[in-house]
Amino acid sequence: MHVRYVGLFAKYVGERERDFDLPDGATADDLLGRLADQYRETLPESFMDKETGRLHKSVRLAATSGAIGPEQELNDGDNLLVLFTLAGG
Amino acid sequence: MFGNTGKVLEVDLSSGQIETLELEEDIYKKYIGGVGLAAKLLFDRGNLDADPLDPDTLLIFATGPMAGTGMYGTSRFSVGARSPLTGIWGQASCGGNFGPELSRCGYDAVIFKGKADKPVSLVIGDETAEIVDAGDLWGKDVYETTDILKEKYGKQEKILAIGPAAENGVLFGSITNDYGHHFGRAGMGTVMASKNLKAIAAKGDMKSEFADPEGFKEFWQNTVRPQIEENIFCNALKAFGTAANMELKMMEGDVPTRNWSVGSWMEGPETLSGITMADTIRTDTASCRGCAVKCKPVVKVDEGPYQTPEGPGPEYETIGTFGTMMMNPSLEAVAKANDLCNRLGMDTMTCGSTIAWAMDCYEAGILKPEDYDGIKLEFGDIDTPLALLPKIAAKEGKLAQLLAMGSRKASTEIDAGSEKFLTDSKGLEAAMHDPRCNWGDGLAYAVSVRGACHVSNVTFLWEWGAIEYPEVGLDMLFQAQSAEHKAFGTAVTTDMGSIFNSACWCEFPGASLTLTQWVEAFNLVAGYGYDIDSMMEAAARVWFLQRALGNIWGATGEDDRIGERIMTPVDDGMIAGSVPDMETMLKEFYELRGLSADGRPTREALAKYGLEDVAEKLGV
Repeated sequence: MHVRYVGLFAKYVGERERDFDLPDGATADDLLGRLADQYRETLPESFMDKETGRLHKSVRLAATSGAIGPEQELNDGDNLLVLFTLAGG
Repeated sequence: MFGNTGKVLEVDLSSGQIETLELEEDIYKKYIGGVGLAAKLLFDRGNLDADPLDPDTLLIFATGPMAGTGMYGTSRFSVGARSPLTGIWGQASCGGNFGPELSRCGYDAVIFKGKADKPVSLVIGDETAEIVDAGDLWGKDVYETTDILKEKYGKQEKILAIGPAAENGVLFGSITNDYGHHFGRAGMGTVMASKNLKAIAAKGDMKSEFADPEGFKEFWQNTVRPQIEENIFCNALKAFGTAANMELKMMEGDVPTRNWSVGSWMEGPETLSGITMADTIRTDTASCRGCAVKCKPVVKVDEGPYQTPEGPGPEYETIGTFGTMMMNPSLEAVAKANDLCNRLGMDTMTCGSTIAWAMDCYEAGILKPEDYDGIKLEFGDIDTPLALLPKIAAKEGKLAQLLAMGSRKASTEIDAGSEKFLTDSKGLEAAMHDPRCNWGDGLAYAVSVRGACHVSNVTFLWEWGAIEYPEVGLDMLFQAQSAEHKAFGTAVTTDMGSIFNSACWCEFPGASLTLTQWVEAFNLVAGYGYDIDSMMEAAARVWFLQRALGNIWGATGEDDRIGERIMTPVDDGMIAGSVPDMETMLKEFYELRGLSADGRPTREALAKYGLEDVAEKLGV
C-alpha cells in the first residue's frame, strides 16, 4: 500500500511517500508498526512511545474518507496519509 | 499565604487614590486566580450597569498561583473587563514577563477604576505603586512607548502598553508586554485607553512562598519538567512554532481560507507554514519568561516591499487571518502586517478577519469603492490591507471607521446581507480552526464565555488528540465530524480552559499534565487542598460566573451560535459538505450544564457552586 506524508512528519522523515508490502488482513496498527521501524532513527524521540517503541499515539492514519482506527483492515492498493495533527495556536 | 500574595492593588484613576486590598485564602481556592479572580473581583466590586468604556467599568489584571514557580509556561497572566467589542465578559491571556513581575511586587491583581483626567501610567515596585504623567507617551506606538519606559526605568522593568489604535477607540485595541506578548482579544486595550491609562511598569524583588517547597521541587524537577521536555506537541512547537503543521492542517480542512469559503488551498502552506518560516525569514526563536518550549518566532525581512525590522514574528493565527483568509501567499507580507498591528496595538485576529469579511462584501457588491474612500479590498491583494492598517488605527476615513468596529458591529451598521459572511460568536471572530473539520470546536466557540474563542477552553486540543482526561471519563473514541460525545467533551475542556486561564499556565506545556498532576501542582504550590472533584468544581464556578456576567450584559441562548459563513458548507477538500450539528450539541451541552432555553444558568446550577448572589443578580 501507498503511504503519503505531509507537513511536519514529511519534514522529519525526509520524504513524501513510500510503498509498503503487508500481508493479507494487515491492519492500520500493523502499518503504524512498520512506519515506526522504518523511521525510528529519523524521527525525533518525542515521536516515539518510550515504553512500547511504537509511534506516539497522536500519529494516526487516514484514508480518503478520513482518519481510520487501528483495527481497520487494509487492502492492497490502499492510498493512505499519515496524520500528525498536533501543533497550532 | 502560599503561591499567591493575598494582596490586590485597587487604583482609582479619577481620584488618584491607590489602595491595597487583602483577600482571604478562600477566594483563591474558589476562583483559582487569573481570569477567575478577575471575574470575582469585578462581580463584587464593579458597577455592572456600566458600559465597557464608561469610567465606572473595571479593568482587572491578575496573575495565577504559579506565577512565582518558574515552571515552563507559568509566566502567563490575565486581564478581564466588559468588552467593548462584544459587550459581554472580555478576557485575554498574555505570555511574556509581566505576570511573575507583578507577583514579585507583592500583588496578585491590579484593579483599575475611574478615568484619569489626562494620560497616565502606573509604576509598580515592591508593595508600592505610583501614578505618573504619560502625556509624552500618548499617541506613540507600542514599541516606542516600551523603549522610552525601559530607557527611563531600566531594561529589567516589565512594561505593558497600549498603542494609537486603542487610544483612538478601535474596538479591538490590544495591550502588549515587552514587544512580543499580547493581550490581543476582546478590546482590553480599548478599555485601558478609555481610562487614559497608557502603560504599566513593574519591577519587584519579593519571592513567593510555597506550601511544600521540597515537594514542589521534586514534583517540578522529576515529573513535570521532563514530561514537558519529552512532549511531542511541545517539541513540534519548539522546532517550528505554532504554524509547524500548517500543511497537514490545511489538508484536513482545519485552516480557514478565503474568509472560510474554501476547503483546501494547498499552495498556501508551501509559503506560509512554520517550516517555511524557519527556512526563510525566521532569525531566532524567543520564549516567555523561563520557558524552554521557546515557540515564538523572531523574524526579519531585509528587502522588498514588506521590509520588516527584526522583531516578534507572526503566530499561526495571524498567518491565518492575514494569509489564508485573504488568499495571500506571502509570509513576508504577513510579517509586515503583524509588525504593524503590534506597533499600532491591534488584535491581528479581529483585524484580519474583519478585513476578510469586507473582502467578501466587496466581491458581493455590498461594499463599493465609490462609497468607501475609493478603496477596494479583494482576495489575493495584501497591499491594500497593509496600507489600510494605519488608517484603521487612526480611524481615518469611512472604510477605516467601519472596520475599526470589528466585523459584527460593522455588519450591523451596513446590513445589506453582509451577515452571511460573518464568522463570529457574540461579536468575537472565530479562531483559525474550522469547526467543519472538528465539530466540537463549533460548540466550544458558541459557548465560550468571551465569544468565538479556542483558548478560553481547550476543546481544540482534545479534538486533535493532544489531551485526554481519563480521571473524569474523557478518554472515549470519537469522530471529528460527529456530534457524539462533543457536549461532554466540550464541558470538560471548557472547565479545563478555566483552569488554564485562572492558573495562568500556558496550554502548550500545560497540555502534558494529567488532572492528578494539576491537583498536585495547586496543592504543593498554593496549598489549595484540592482533589480532582473540588478542582473541577472551582473551574466550573469560574465558567458559570463569567457566563452569568455575559447574560447580565445581554447575551441570550440565541447568541450561542457561530457565524453564518462557518455554518455554510464548502464543496472542496476533506471538509466538503460538513456542517457541525450545532442543534444537537447545544441541546446536550445545555442539559449537562443546567442552562435554561434562554441561555441563562438555572438557580439550581448556580447554587451548586455557591453562586446564589449571582442568581439574584441574574434574576433566576
